[in-house]
Amino acid sequence: MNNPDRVNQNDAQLTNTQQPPKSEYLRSIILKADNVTLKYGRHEVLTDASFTVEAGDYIGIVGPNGSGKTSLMKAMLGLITPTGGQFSYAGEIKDNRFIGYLPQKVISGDPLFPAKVREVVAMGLLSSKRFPKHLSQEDYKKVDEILGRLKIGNLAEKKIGNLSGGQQQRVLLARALVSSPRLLILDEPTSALDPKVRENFYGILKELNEQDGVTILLVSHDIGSIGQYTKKMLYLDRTVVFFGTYEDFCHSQDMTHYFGPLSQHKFCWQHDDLPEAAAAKPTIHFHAPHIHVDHVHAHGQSIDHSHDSDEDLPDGSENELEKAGGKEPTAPKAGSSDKEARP
Amino acid sequence: MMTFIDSIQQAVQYDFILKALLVGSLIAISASVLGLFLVLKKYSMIGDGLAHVSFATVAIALWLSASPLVVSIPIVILASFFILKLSEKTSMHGDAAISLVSSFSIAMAVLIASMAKGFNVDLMSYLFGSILVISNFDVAISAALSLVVIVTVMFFYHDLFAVTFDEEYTQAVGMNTKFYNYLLAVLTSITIALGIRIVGTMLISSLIVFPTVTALQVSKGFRMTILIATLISVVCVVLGVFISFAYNLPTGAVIVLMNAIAFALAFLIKALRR
Repeated sequence: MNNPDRVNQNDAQLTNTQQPPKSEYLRSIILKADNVTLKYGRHEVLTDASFTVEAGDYIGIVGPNGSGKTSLMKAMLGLITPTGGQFSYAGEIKDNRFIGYLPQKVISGDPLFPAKVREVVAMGLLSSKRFPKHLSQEDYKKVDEILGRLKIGNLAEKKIGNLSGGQQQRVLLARALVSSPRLLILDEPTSALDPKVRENFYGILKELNEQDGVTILLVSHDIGSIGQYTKKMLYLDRTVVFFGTYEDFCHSQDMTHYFGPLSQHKFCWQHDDLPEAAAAKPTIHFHAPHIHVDHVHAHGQSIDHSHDSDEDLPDGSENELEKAGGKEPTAPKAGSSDKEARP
Repeated sequence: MMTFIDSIQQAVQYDFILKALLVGSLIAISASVLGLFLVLKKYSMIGDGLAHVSFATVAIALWLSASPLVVSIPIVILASFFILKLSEKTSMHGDAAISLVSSFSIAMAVLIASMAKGFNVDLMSYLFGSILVISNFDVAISAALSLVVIVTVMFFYHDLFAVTFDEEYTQAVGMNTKFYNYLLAVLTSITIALGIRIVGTMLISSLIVFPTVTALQVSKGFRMTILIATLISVVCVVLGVFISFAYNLPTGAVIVLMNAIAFALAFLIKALRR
């Protein structure tokens, strides 16, 4: 593994710690990581990671393969114990009862597994129950409610192995949400979904975050598109490279140095003119596959696309679309509120 | 057909047949209740491995002139923990761990049998099962422990389901998955140690795997699968006991044959439904 230059990591953390809270009201901290170090055997996968999650945050945890994203997530869930540093949780979510978790793999490998959707979703209620665990009529009512909300009520009696990838993903999201968690942790939730289903999925997450106030941590390797959905970015590469809002990311000289101006611009999704541009052409819907920008991380600044300046953006937004493999910049629904998505 | 019904009427006059029906049905229920969890967790072979361990413990018990059940159950439970630990701590696959423990146990059983001459016939009855040798003490302890297994699974049903479906998720939401894995191992050990009396060491794992796989062919939900498996298993045991009596055949083998027929039927039904 070739490490990208680590010179500015400290600077990045500095910028990070110097950030004053942006919100008008004091938001409660629900998870705090202090110099967390994670190891697999003797192999250190994450070093001295520190960050703070506030109630209502919607954080994209991004980074190249092997950067420690999934390990960090597992450690937050208590599946791995940090070898250094610690996590402190707000009291009420300490015992994992108020954490919803959506794992990466869609189904436990066995299409024969005899479980109905309703049975799988009800599983999400178990962690808050005590022995002997019993699911009441009321519990199943909750299950049906959440299925209805995610518009999969018609699947309740279906066998989980017979569903499509997108449907299974939504069933597992229902399982994560049925206990009304304060914190939702998702691991690469959209990697198996096609773009249309993906937009829909992000729409659901946005609604949860903005209307229900659920704090969301979303692990993704798709840094190129995650910026249009999440409010903050936690960029990992064996340590915290950047943590903060996209606005800060865009204006950070360190990040310009780290990623190069083009990638930085792409990742931060600060195309202020785009909503208007998108609104002007509402009929255009690209549903082409997303580009994966892993090569960007590996080589830092080695991208040789010609992208002169930001000035020509309104005009160049379509241009940008083509370059990005026809990626739709904003969902029709999410488009209008693209600005609100960032504090 | 008349003669078969006659012989059923004749059979139920015998005490040992009634005992066999009672103990056999209870073991069939516990085995098929556990079966779905074990099959889906890809632990189908653990029944076989632990049966071999039980066989060795029976050899020890006969050697010491102790009650086989009393000696078997604790040792088999320890062996099941050992199998779990082997696959947890070392980089060994579950099936490799089972196969180590299983062949070692058979070797021990054979060594003990050859050192202490004189009980080979008794030991053989544990190899293929025999309903003639069930004592009242065996009936009582088998009935009690089977009930413990069945009731425990009912109480922990939701937890065991979650652990079987997705162990990582279950752990992530704060449930103690290790406890449930060991609980499953204890319950399986008890069932196996009880079951080798009726169907024998070689055939006990069929009571765990066959009804479950049969039920999986036709069912959709989890609870339904367990219910169907249990029903199939009890019917097979009852039929097996009667047929083996009527035609003077080995009971264990007939029970397995019934299960095989049930599986073939379920498979046919599934194929026809498409």
